[in-house]
Amino acid sequence: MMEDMREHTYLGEFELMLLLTILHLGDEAYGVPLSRELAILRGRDVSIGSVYAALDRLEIKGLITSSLGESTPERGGRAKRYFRITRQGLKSVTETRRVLSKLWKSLPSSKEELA
Amino acid sequence: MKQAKSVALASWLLKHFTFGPHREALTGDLSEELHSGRTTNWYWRQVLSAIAVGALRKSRDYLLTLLFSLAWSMLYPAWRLAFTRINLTHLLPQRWAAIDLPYSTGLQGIAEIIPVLLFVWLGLFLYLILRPEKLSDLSPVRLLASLSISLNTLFIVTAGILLYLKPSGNGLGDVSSQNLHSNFQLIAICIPLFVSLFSAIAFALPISRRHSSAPLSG
Repeated sequence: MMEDMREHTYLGEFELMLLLTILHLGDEAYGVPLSRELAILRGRDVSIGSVYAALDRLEIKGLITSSLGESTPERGGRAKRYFRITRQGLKSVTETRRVLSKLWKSLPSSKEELA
Repeated sequence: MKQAKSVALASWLLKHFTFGPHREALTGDLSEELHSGRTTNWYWRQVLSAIAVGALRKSRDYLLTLLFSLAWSMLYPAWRLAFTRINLTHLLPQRWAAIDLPYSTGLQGIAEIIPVLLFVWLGLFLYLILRPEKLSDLSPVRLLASLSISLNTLFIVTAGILLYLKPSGNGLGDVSSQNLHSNFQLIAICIPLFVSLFSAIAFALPISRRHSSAPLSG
């Protein structure tokens, strides 16, 4: 049990959102659609720099992997970097979902009761 | 025209003040967004935010090294006093002064540099001893190169400071004698030590953070 806890990588809120968005976008997960999708979901503009900082953290943890894609003239000839979730990443998302679901279920359902 | 210049300046800042493996992709993404109709203001906000985020991450990565280098360089007056007490710095130049010019001047210069350099290298070795988990990344070649970098940095920064101090009539030589503890010159001598030690540690132990893992297939 303790071994599992040590091995498990805990996800921050923004990291979890990013992983879910990568899963949602599938093969189209690169910086622009990722930040647009996140901006829509969160209801406010997202800094692409922050998105890349979080993506870098996730890659270091081994939860995602990236590969270079095609370049276009609009990008000044720079290649897109596509992100994909790893097995470890998927395990981490599933684990976080399980824990969060348990926590939500343990709380009262109505707003009044929560307050 | 003015707008194009503004974008060019922001792009230049982005290129020169952001770090990390995804810099090219980030630059490409911002260009793509700009071409898709985003405003120049939006572009500037994104660029400044990316620079700030990058700087914050970088400083966090090197925070321990920075603090250690700063603290260690502040100990230099004590080291210098200890060196003076055991009379090593006085014995050697006296013997070397008997040698004919220009060799005597050169040897005296070396005698001045030796305690400074030993201080920096001692700091480097102490840091390495305190971070044994990082030693596996360190090869003998890298260690030798970092020692060499510290020496070169020390020379360059000291020369720069000497040039800066020259018009005011101050010199770094006075620091070793009377006014060692409490003046502007002390700060001036600590700067090259700090930069030299920091560059040596940063080169010896680069931050390796990659973690490979298999992507999810299908």
